[in-house]
Amino acid sequence: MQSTVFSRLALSESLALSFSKNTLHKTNYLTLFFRLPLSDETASEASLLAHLITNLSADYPSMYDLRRAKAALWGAEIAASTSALGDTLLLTVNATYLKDRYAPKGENITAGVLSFLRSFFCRPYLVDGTFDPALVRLEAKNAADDARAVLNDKSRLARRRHVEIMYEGTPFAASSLGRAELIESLTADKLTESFYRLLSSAPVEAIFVGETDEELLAQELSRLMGEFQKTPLTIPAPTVGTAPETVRCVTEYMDINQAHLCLGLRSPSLRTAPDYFAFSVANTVFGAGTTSKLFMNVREKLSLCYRVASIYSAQNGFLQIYAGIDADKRSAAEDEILLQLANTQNGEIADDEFQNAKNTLTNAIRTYTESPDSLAAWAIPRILMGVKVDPAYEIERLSAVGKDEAAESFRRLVPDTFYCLQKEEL
Amino acid sequence: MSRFIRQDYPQIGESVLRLMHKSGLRVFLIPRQGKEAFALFGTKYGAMDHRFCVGEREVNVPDGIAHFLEHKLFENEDGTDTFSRFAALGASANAFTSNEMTAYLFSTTGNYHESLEVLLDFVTHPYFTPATVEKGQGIIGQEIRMYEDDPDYRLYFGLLNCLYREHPIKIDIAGTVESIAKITDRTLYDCYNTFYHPQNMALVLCGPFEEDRVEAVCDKVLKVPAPLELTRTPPYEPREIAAPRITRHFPVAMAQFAVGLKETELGGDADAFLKRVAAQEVALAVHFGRTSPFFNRLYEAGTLSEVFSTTYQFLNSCAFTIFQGESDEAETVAKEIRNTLKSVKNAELSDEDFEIARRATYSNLIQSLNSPSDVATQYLSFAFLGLDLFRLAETVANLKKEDVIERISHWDEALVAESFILPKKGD
Repeated sequence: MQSTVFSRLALSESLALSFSKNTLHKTNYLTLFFRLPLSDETASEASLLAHLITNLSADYPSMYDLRRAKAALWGAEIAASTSALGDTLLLTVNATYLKDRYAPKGENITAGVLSFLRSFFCRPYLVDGTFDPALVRLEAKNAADDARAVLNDKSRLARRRHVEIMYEGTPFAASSLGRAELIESLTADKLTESFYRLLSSAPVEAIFVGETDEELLAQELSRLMGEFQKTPLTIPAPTVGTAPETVRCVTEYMDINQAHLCLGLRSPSLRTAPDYFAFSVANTVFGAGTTSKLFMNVREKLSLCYRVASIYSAQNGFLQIYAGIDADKRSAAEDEILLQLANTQNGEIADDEFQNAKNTLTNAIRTYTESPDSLAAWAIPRILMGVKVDPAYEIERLSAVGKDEAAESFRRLVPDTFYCLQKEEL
Repeated sequence: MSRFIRQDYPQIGESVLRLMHKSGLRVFLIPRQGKEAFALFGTKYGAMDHRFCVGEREVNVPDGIAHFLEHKLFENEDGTDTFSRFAALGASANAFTSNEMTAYLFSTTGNYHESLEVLLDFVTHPYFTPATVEKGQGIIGQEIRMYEDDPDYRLYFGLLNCLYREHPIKIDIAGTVESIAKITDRTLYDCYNTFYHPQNMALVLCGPFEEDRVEAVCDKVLKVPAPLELTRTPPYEPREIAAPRITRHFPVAMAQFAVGLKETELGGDADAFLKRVAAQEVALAVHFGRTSPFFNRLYEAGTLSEVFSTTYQFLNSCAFTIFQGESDEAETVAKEIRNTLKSVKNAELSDEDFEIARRATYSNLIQSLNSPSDVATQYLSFAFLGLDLFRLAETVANLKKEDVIERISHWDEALVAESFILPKKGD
């Protein structure tokens, strides 16, 4: 996979390093993505592990001492989290830290960061061979609270419920934060087992963006992960799934002011599909950004909402259309969204509308690829799907898309589940 | 030859070029390599400016009008769509309104000066009619509904209404469905003509812009207007807080708290202001940051989580600190914050504690100067306060332990208020 921004080295069967030199920013960015199959169980374990693994080690048996040591390394931030890409769960350990030249005393901060990672992975803080049960209970509460916090943001809650309903019984229905009750049932023994299983079987993608010695970094990462990588897991290939014969409509109620409408459709245009770029342009024309049909019509022309957008998951072909609306205008909003969908599918796309969509996508790619964290976020789904990780190539492919092929790709969408979270009925 | 004046900040790897344009507009150009560019055209006019004098005339306007005006400025008399004008150039546009300012922006990776021309052009050509105002009431009404359901937003404005008795900082930025219903095209023009004057505005550009071309675009688009006729009366605010606490119930997973510490001793020149900000940030890191005994004790007891944060907010006419987080024992945390604010005034500050907090604060500041959008946005906020953003890191680097001790001596637990969002029964 040639790239104009990354060099990618396979360091072992289950460890690869993508390296991008970036002189524009003041920070270095090193991320290790541990890949796991997504399920309620794996997500619950990973979510709790994410709370544990960068919080203590045998070298730093107190959180207080560890936090002070990181602060002393010019505020180096090293933290873990979980996220999902299609049916893949990612446990991410990220280090963001100042480049050496901005440290007033010129310390080698990358070496300090690698030393912390070695301490976390190779010398975890164990009591009688397992994580400290008291610490596991404490962090299980924090991880479970994070999972429950989806309730606080009603738009996020609606979008999550929509996914759970549409993908019920499949891996994609699981939240990457796990399920609170499963997290709370995990024991120190079980977690310790999960920790070593993660290190010995989860394939790791490392991404570095910034300035450091590439060869030295590759050596250090090989040495670090080489202690564990033995039997790599096979991550199942993503699937699109099948839509029901008739659209499933679900309404749920809550004491809220604004209603949250989510329309879900399935598309075969995965990131690996020949028409992926055509679909990307079509979706931008339809609902991504401030010049889209949804923004211009549902919001600007009919004043039905403030937020409206269509969000596409190219890992598994899930298109989610979201609008925050007045509950009594639900039909009007749904009708207008479906009208604009039909217009896009029928190729009713003006020349400037089409070109604006391409410009928006091109500008977004150029912007993402200049910033370390967004470059990594842009690259990782491409790496996981085994496609080219090259902005120049993507821009070229997008610019070559014709209106007919864009419309054609959108005609392959199949409606699945329409969902609304709204104020309780009186 | 360029009329921009350059200043370098080698320690943090930044430079700025300044120009006072003949229209009265202050222009700041922050050069960056790379393709990404970000531009902000802002006016020192926000939700706080609900009452003002133009000449002899006193004007009172409905709450939420600055934000409403921001939305409406994107409409053009010839029916063209502003977002599409930017998109045609490959740029992406947006805007925001805060308590004290409104800013219009674009980000782009090409056509920099053409995009700048569109930005200056649409902001300087207002077009308001009864029909466009009515349309805006529908869209912004939905935005208000969104904020009504947002616990963070309610927590924040609940706290400001406890901290402040009179100061307009407590006015809700978006207003209410009722207040925006009172807005007319006439009131929008009143506000626009008063505050969207080059002397009350600033332009911040961060990216590969060329100084001569920037000045040429300003010359082309900006007229030289009559002098600004605006009188701002400094807001009156008594020393005391308005109320010790407010509690609301929402469908949330866990209790949320925001504890506010009001400051009353403001003033001083730009150097003193920067030193106050730097010392406050380090003092907060020492006593409430991730390396503080306060945070670690409550975290290990399961009372506080990583969600906890401290934020120092400052304007010329007010300043306050917010301690915010989630906890099953929100009231206990609030009490601990009060106790700590009181106890640390007489506590020793070790050299090690000071140095660790100073390093963490310095690193945060440097990291906040990464992306052109973050740099430009912060730079504009500081510029409207008469401050130089790039001098803040230097101020932190030169800070002494005594400066932090002096800062802490101003913390007054009598000026603390609390805002709580508690889960609704049954949630």
